[in-house]
Amino acid sequence: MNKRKLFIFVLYLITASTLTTLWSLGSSDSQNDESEVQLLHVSFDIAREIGRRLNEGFIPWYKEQTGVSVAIEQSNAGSSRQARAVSEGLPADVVSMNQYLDIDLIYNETATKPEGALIPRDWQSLYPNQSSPASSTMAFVVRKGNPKQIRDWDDLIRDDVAVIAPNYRSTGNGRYSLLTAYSYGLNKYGSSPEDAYRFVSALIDNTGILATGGRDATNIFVERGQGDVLLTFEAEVNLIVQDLGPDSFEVVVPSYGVDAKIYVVVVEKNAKEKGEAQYQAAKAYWDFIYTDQGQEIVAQSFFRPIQKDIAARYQNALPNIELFTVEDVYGDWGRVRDLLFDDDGVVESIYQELGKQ
Amino acid sequence: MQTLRHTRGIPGFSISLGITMGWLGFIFIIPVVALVLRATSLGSETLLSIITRPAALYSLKITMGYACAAAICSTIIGTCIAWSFTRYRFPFSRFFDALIDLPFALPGAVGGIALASVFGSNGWIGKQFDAVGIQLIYNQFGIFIGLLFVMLPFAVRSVQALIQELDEREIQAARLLGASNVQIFFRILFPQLVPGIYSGFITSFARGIGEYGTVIFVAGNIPYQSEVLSRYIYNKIDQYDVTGATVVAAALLLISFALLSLLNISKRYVYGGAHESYR
Repeated sequence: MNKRKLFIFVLYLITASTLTTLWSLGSSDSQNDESEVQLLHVSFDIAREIGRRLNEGFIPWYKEQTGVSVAIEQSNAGSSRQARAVSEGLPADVVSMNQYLDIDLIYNETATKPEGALIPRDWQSLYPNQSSPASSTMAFVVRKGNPKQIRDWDDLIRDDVAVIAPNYRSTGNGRYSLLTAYSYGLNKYGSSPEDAYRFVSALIDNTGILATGGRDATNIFVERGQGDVLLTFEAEVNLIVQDLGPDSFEVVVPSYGVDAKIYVVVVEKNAKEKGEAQYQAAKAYWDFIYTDQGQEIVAQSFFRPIQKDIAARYQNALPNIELFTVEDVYGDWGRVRDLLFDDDGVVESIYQELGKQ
Repeated sequence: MQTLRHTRGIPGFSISLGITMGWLGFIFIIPVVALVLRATSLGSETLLSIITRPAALYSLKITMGYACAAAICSTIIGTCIAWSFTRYRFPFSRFFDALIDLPFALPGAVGGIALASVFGSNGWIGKQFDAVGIQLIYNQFGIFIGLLFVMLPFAVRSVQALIQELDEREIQAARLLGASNVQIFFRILFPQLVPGIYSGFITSFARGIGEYGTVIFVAGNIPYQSEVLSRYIYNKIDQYDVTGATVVAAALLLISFALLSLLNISKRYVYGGAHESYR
């Protein structure tokens, strides 16, 4: 092939691929036109499955109620990064996060903008239970037969145990794990911060790999076979054992855990801009999660529903354990952040000490 | 004036310069300047305190250290690879040659996952080492392995063109004059390859400083142990600390720019009498 022919060939390839891309973009648009309303649900890393199940329940429910057909797309990644993406312009209509701080960030980052905040300041008052329709707590996955006999938080600091967890400072998932460990240390050793510090320090020392998010941690533990115990949300723990291998893994729910609330919000500014139908559907999406059917879906996805009677029916998978709330123990998330996760906080100081050894 | 323009020979100066400057400004200079401005808008004291945080300094240290070590290693191995591809024909050599470019095109995650599945303690190479108690990845050595993977094409391609241009007659002449193989290599071949080897080192090193995608899959990402600077910057953002991320990013930018400028300037001295076009 001479140079000229080669050049024409490459040019042809580029043109062809560009046209194909444009064509597929165009065709996906027309496909979407079939439903009257398009919602984008932006959520945290391990909420893919619950999101999908909610959509399956919500779409026929809403069609029956209003005659409007809805299509829902979802985007999942580390919660803090997702919150930032929404505040920087990702056109989400509905958002759910595993941390209060992440939704609050959407308000804080956009409140001072001339075009106004994306969500109202009092977003927590818009839905029941402070806009929290579900919760989870932290639990463990161990290898089948529990060879290291890991039963509770104490076992995680034994010398012979290797822990896998998402990054303790930069992911909601990891922050909840660390917060629970710290609180366990406080609770167990008579509320002395020094003892809690030592407990957390031992846990951090045992954590040889920090994953970039919940799903990355799961992957490292399951696919790469690293570590003796995976520390993550109870919802994720049950999914792993159910979907990835009841023959290879076991769930361990420790005696003590955090009440990790899942918060929901409608991004009013985005939804309203797209029209009234959009806004109504977005609002109804979160109304749905509070219905009996919605709460049932929550429990089936291994999150803890707020309706007590439904929770009671899922006792086997979601056992009653001693739960604490961030508000009761620390006042609010801001304090937790200052104490544990800031640049002068406990975690950084532990890493500095361990790094020097 | 008219004659002066004609003497330039190649037409299209103003239009190509216009496109160059417009494009550079749009895609590169404006974003970079914005980043630096955003960082420097904080007082110098805040700036210094953010940059000199021990975790940031540690990440900078291991990032630079391993980028440099891996670049040296890649350059040596890359030169050997380029040599064997160019000087010898063996079965499937074209195929292997094309393979080298893969890390150019692959998303970092693909390389990372591939490496982790082979070198992890249940991967088929990692398993052998695990049996004797050696962990290959999820530590600093993992950073090194990840960097070697992404650097390979840079090291190979920059020296390959020079090897192709080597003149067989020079080698024959040297041999006729009684030079040994070792002498031929060090006195005749190697000096001609130096520019390619050196620029291979520079581009590999530059690639290594900014590497994120592949390395995070095989490093343990533990602060003060195996957290590279690009990962540190990502973490800062996820810790709601965009300011910190911006400042460290700007600092990394300036350090990289200074280092690369230095290396580029030093080319002139390294190349000496070597190949014209590389000067």
